[in-house]
Amino acid sequence: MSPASLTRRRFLQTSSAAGLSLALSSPGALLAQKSPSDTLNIALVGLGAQGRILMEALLKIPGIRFVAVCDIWEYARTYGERLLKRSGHPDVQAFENHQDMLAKVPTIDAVIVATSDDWHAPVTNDALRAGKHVYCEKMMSNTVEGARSMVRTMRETGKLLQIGHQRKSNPRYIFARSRLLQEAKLLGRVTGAQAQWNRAVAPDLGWPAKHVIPAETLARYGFPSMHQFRNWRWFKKHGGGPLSDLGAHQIDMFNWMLDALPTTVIGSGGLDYYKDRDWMDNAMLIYEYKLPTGTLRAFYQVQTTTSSGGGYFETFMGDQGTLKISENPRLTAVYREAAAPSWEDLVRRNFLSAQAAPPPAPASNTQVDARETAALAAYDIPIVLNKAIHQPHLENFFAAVKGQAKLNCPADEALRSEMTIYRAIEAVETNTRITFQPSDFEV
Amino acid sequence: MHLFAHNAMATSFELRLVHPDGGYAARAAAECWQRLDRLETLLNRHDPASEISALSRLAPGDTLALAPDTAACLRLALDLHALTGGAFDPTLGAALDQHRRGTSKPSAPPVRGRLLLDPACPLARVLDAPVSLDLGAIGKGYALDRLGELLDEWEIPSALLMAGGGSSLLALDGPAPDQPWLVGLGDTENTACLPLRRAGLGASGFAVQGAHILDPRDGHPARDCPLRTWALAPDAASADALSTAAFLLAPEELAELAGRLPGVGFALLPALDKPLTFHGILIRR
Repeated sequence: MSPASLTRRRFLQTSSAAGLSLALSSPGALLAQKSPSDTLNIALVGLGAQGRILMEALLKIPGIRFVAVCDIWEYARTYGERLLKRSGHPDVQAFENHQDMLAKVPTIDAVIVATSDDWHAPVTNDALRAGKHVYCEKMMSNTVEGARSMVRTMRETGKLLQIGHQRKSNPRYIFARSRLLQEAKLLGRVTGAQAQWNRAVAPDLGWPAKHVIPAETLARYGFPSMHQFRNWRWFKKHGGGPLSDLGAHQIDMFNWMLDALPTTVIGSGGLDYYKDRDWMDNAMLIYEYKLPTGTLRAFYQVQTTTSSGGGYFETFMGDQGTLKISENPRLTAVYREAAAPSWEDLVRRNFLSAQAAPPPAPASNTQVDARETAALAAYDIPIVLNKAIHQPHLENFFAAVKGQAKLNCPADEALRSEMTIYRAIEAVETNTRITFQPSDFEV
Repeated sequence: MHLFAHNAMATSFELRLVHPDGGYAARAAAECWQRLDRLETLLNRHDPASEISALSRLAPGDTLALAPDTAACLRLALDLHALTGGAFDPTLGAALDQHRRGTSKPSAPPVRGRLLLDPACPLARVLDAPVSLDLGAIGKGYALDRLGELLDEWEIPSALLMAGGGSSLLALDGPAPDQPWLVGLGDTENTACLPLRRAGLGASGFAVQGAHILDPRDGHPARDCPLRTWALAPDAASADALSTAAFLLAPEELAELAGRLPGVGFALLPALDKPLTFHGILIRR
């Protein structure tokens, strides 16, 4: 084939024998038509790993305009500023200090907070008092008092405060809770729950040598060193450790899916693997719930020394079935107990979809087939999320700001659930069995 | 030199980093793996949570906002699709599955789909569904390029980045000031040695995974093509895609591309008993 034919073939760029085509539109042609008056001006405070994940999710949401980013690390805020300017937000301004940002950008409607946990309360409280609505990452704070102050400020200012327990807006979780557990009572009497999030050994986070924050800047924000700034999750002054970082999401799901709060918790854990950290690197908890249907125990495990094969999920076990659910759809399934009534009607009503066709029914009760061991009947939840996993929760927040929805995780509800984590950490640290008191949940 | 390995994108990635502080190199490598894992969650079509999977579930008329990396990788794939006259084709996802399952016969459901990408903002709209994309022949190289940028940021200029046991490579500066990385092409008596510095190299072939290259022009396994191909390019993503296209392009077309595009070259192993042929590549025997 001659070069001329290659040139000719280039003109056929949008077709292939596979029958599929990929082409460029004219610039901006795919943008939805938006009403400028409907656009919300937002600021993102904290551009670490979680802040960047939120930024990517925020970039997918129409009707918002980034006007400011804030991080004490110039490297991080420059990254965010450049990415946003390249992504259709040319007016975004970058700040080191959130108070400076709030003073200089009066047009901000809402602030997204993804700093280290110790800065959640100061930034959130300042933003609420400045008249902004706030979406703040979980845990609310590294101290109970910090978290309570956020609820007080939310009430005092009348502004919205959503906490980033994003599973509460995930359509698969919402469907599983409202349709499968509450409406269809698919699991029968739920007698146990279990969740785990295990991560492989990872070295401490580093930083490019040329991007060190000056010591006086670090000190101004309470960080004694660059190492502690980058690895704040491991230090009690800044974070809450793995039960707070990872467990908070899943223990919140125990409470929300079961629609209950636990009565007691015991736990064990410790700093057994890593050196030079404050927080435990592994923990196991057992909560006891007194449900109307009887007692339920829920086991939680977090390891930072093994991935245990990978994945994180929550499991709810009942006398008629088990729901295993995760943000990862591959780790989500529903299993029917062999003695449970048929779920075929639920499949017909689109509550479930069968993973594999069941074996044919025997011709009569006196004739059976002999075959290899049958797998437990497994079903999928017929809900697919075509969005970033944090996106629906952020969308719920913006809808609430516009008066079109109620928050799925307002700070007062979040604090009640997070108290079960704060006190579980206490149970591990003091090696005691803790009985929750009504005062724990008063906010 | 410090070696680091990580599994992602259904294969292994390796970093060879030259730095006096092993701890610093290890922390840079950890940052690279975090970046790589994030890219995999966007680009892996076998992960139902990825954006590439999300595109395959859209109905005609649906628009999906993409992460900047997904949009950038798709735009690059489209550029290379155009540049190679369709010989590199990222739209073979479902066709590849049918091929691997042995169902690419007339009885198989036809693969149809049309996707529009916005060149100005990270949006994609499905015109006809389903859209089944496979970035397997460019995604590893795209990831290496992003890790290379990260290593430059960490001021580790001497590095060799590999994926897939050598199917995608990105060389930054060589292991010593006047020394490039040396990459062997082929494993027969024809073996040649390619000096590599600040360039990407892609390798494709039938030798390891069998006949996995489909000709997008007729949807069938490629025939009468070389046993192995290598493509050199200024970046690993282009090298990755060009090595796949090199299977299907005639020698004249490869020579034209090598002559027209700065830093691009090809090497081909036509058969085990034939010598390597080169277009735009200088080698050391």
